[in-house]
Amino acid sequence: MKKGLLKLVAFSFLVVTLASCAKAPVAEIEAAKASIEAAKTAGADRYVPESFNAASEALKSAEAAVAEQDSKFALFRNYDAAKTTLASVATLSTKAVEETTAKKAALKAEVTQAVTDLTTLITDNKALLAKAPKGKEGKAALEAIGQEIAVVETVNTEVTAGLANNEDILTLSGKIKPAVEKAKAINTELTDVIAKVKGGKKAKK
Amino acid sequence: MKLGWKKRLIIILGILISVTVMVYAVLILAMDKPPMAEFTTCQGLLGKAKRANADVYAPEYYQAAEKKYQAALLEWKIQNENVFFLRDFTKVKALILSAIIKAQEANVSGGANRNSLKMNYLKEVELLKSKLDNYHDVFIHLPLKVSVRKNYEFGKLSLEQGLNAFNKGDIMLASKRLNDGKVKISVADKEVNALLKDYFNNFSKWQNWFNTTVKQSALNKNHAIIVEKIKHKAYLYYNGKLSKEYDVEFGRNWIGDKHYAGDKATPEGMYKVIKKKSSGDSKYYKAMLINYPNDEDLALFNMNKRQGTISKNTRIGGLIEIHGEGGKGDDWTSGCVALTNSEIDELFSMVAVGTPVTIIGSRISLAELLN
Repeated sequence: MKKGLLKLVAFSFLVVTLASCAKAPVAEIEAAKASIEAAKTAGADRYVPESFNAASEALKSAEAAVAEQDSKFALFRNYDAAKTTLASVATLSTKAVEETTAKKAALKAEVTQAVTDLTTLITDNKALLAKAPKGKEGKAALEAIGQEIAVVETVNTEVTAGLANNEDILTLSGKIKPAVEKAKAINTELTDVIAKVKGGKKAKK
Repeated sequence: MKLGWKKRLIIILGILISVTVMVYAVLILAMDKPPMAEFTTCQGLLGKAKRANADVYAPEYYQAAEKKYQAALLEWKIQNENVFFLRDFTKVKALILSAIIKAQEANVSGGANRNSLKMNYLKEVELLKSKLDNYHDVFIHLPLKVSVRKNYEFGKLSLEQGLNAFNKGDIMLASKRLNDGKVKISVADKEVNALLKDYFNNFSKWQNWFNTTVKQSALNKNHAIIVEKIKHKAYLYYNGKLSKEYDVEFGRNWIGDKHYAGDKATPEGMYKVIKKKSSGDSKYYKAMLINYPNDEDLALFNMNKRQGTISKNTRIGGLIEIHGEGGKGDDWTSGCVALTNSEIDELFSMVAVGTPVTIIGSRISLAELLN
């Protein structure tokens, strides 16, 4: 009887000892790495670098925490903190992907609107250019403005094609914005010159 | 007192367990510890470097730091595979320290490179802007091809796209756009420079005419007109001093001398007013006829004919005037010099028959003009 009890105690001790050896979160690390890779593929490193960097830094921290626990005596290992950080990597990566998608959509809407605005501005500017008076700098200055409008139009065509071909929206945005500003400046310049001449003619009458 | 075998066994087992625990405890205490604090430090430095875009501005240091960090982590994992008392973290420590140094260098060098890139970028922007200013101030009157003007405008827009990126902190994209602009502008500049260089071959002749005319005006205490084609200006000198300045327009092919009738070029040389045409006598409000062709023009014309550069039936032309109806903003005359009616009124009232009229390409050298 006593012999049997002793065996049972020894066996239980062995089971408890083995069970208390925590397991390294290998699958969680792989999942976290995959989520970072997915965020990168989505373009999060370019569109939302802050969020992407936060996820990458969390992964580094988690990997080191796992290695730290691995270095400990088996009975004393505890991966809870590392697991929490790994879970946050996945959360941060998902957030980065969502933010990237939202930012891309917002930029696409912005660029699409800019293309519409620019198309209108180009049409207006061409009409204004035809009406513009030839002053002392007249023809040469108007020719230069004509070239400016032509260049802006080329950019508009490029960006329109880019939108249709789903090209990188960040690049397209960087191209169209200065073109819109340029077209607006031309519009103001031409409108002012025309108004000035009209004003001058009225005053003479 | 004799102990039973069971009790003896328990005592022996107890001693064995105690010794084992003690040995383990000693080994655990004595075992090499991984450099966790250094890893944390390195993570912080790498994070800081990444946020400051050191991967872009100091890629060699940043990548080296990342590589060392990953190597240290891998070595740590390898050591963890060993039995705990056989683990040796010396290599891990060396690697992570090296990663820390590289990460620090990435931070310092990244910041310095970013600043230097910014400075260089702004310097280059200024240079390009001055080229564009030349285009607007000096080259605007030149009879340039559409493709040349387009290159200038593309260059200008690329520069603006670059500045847009620069203001958002994206210096790399800003530099890329700047380079795009530089390429376009340098292509345009090359054509313009070739045209101007060729035209300015006559500069010493122009200088000589200019100086002679101004001296004559001083000696005779009288008026002299100097027309500077490149600036599209006519200057009225009196007693050797500049007294008036007017904007003028020429023939379409004003770059270069006049060679024959109908070439739409404005002649270059030292002339004088030979007739004044009041309102009603001139097709262009009022006019002052000059003595084109002079002896030099005739000599050049005859030489060109002899050499066959112009046909034998070609005439040299004449009736070159300084007249009114200008202010069109275009080079529209058949080779004359046009002023606005109010300006020709003023000039007409001050200038007499016999007044020297010197038409030159430029008063200043090409280098001065472009600077």
